[in-house]
Amino acid sequence: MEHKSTGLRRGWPYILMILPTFLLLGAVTFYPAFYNIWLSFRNESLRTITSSFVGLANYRRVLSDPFFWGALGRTLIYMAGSLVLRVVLGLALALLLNIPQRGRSVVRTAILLPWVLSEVIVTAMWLWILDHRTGLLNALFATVKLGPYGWLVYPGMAMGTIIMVSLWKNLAFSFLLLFAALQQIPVDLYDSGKIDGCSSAGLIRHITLPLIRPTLTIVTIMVSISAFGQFSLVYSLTGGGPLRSTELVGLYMYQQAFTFLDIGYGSAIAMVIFLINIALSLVYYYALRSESLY
Amino acid sequence: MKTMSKFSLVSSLVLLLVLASCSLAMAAKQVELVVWDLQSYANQPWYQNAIKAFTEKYPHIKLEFEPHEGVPAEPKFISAIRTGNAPDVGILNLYWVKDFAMNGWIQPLDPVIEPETRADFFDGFLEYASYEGQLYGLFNETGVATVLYRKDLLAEAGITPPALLEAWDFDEFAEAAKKLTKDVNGDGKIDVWGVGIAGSRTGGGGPATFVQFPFFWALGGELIDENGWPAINSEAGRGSLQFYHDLVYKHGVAPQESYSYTWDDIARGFSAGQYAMAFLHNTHAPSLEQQFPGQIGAMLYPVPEHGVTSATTAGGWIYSIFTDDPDKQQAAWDYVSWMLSPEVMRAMCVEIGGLPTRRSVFDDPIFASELFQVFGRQLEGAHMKPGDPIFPVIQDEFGVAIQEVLMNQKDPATALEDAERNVIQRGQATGILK
Repeated sequence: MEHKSTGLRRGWPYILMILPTFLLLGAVTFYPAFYNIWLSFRNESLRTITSSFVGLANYRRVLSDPFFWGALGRTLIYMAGSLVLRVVLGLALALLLNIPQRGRSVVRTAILLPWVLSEVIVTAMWLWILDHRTGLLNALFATVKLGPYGWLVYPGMAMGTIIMVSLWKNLAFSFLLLFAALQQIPVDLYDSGKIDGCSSAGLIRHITLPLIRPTLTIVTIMVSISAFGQFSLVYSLTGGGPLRSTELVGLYMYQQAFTFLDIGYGSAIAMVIFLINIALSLVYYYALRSESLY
Repeated sequence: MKTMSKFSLVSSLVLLLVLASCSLAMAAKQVELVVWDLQSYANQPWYQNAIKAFTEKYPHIKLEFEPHEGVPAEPKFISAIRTGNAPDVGILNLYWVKDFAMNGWIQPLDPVIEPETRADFFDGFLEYASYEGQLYGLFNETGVATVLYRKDLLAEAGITPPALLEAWDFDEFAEAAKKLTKDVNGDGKIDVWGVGIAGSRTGGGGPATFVQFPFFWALGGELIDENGWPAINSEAGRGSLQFYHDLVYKHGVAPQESYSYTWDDIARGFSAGQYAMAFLHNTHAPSLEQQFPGQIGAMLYPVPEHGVTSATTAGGWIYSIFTDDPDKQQAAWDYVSWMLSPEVMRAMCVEIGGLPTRRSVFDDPIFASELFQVFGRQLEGAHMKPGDPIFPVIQDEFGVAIQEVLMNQKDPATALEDAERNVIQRGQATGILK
């Protein structure tokens, strides 16, 4: 008992120090998250004064909503495209820039620049570049007698264009983490591998990939979650159009909650997105976990 | 000397007491008014002048401004109302008013509005902002969808526009647009299109439907039936979309990418000389007129056949009072009546190209120009978007149908059949349609 109270006496300064952070997190993260769960079980609409507990009705509605499934399908396409491109290109660039050579710091900075730009600036800039009639990109294509292309205008092209803009903006994230992981690998391991007669591809397969696997898992999970929750780029570049060709679940959720003021339903969609993200993270975790390092 | 000192002391104290009670009385009369006005007004001279003059005339009213961003601010208003933080006065999008009045969130103006002020507003605007016989708001201006055209381009093509207050029929309009569509430099690509059509779904389909509904209404369409259900899959709906489709694919007078253009794209294209005519908003006219002095004309929306009244869509913003505190209500009405006074309304409409909603202002000679005559005539056949809760869903789905038809993905009948089915499904899911 005495031991316990001594522990508490010693611990209270630490508790006091973390208390402000805990309170802040509680107010801006945990409370809204739990409030969202509560709302998802209610028929809360800003258009009506009263609301009541409706059990799983909002969730049943999500599952039978063809627009939600359409948006989910498009989100999976967007996520898959973003994931493959961001991870593969991020890794390729990290491997390339991991080789000591002149000018690599310039290239590293160039990759990082779009990442630090505000999304509002990025979308405004790309709207100018991609404009169907007056954009820079179509002007470049015109010099070789190609185009004009409706980058954000043709339903078949808009999704691809958004994936590319998102890649340009966010490639630095995967590159940076993978580059840091590569730099942690001791050079001795590669030397040993070379002595054992391993080719360059063999070195990557048997040394690099197993050792960066934990980082790769984190990158995959983070890129998936960010792609799944994509909203601002789509909202600003296409508004979900043309037709519904770029209407992703994040945008669909926003529209239900804030355009049609159906807060309960919007909250249920948010919960479904959250559950899908958890499921995907678990899948990645088990698929990419390392049984052994080598 | 001592007596004098005592006297001075007592007099000073009395004077101090009198002054203190005066300032207390003044302070008691001070009213603080929270006003949610449009953000876009903040930098406009008419608004700044109006506010300056108001604060000089009513020094006891302290205004606290919280500008809002317009149409997307609806959830902000409702959240504020439901958490007890509603403004005292606010300017509302026209189709929020019915909903707000139904829920008892805004106050009837009947007890405060003077009969002569009421009589000065056009009846249609008073009717629109009324619910169960009571008036809940007043329009500070209005705007209409209109057909703007370049007089010089029409003259070059040998086209005489319709007489000032008359309308072309659909065929005449399409024929004129064909003559105006030109490949100027002979490279095989069209440089000037006959007409600019905004078909983008941005803004929940708001602008695209604003300029398309005039055809729907001219064909006798109704968006919502008497039971509150969507009625867009009608002869009028199909006819209006067919006309749009024909302009692009049959007559080739509008670009096939029209489905992706916002009305700002169309206005920019018009200003760059890419369109000879365009379906736009009357407030686009002043800046275009500055760019092409004396060359901008407006005509009534085309009609299916002669003899049918040209229709248009009218929009606008409405001042309403939220506060139920009797002291604040008077101050709130002072503010609303000031912002809607003939002087302020006139200054605003002249500056932004809006249309006055008061008879006395509309009769001002400054609004006698050709453009304003056309806009004024259009108001006679104007329809306003309904304030029913299902309307935003109808607008959104009709916006999709416009795009599908302009993309040649679906014929008008299929597009509208799908749109109406989607409206019903979404309306039932949200409980709006029962």
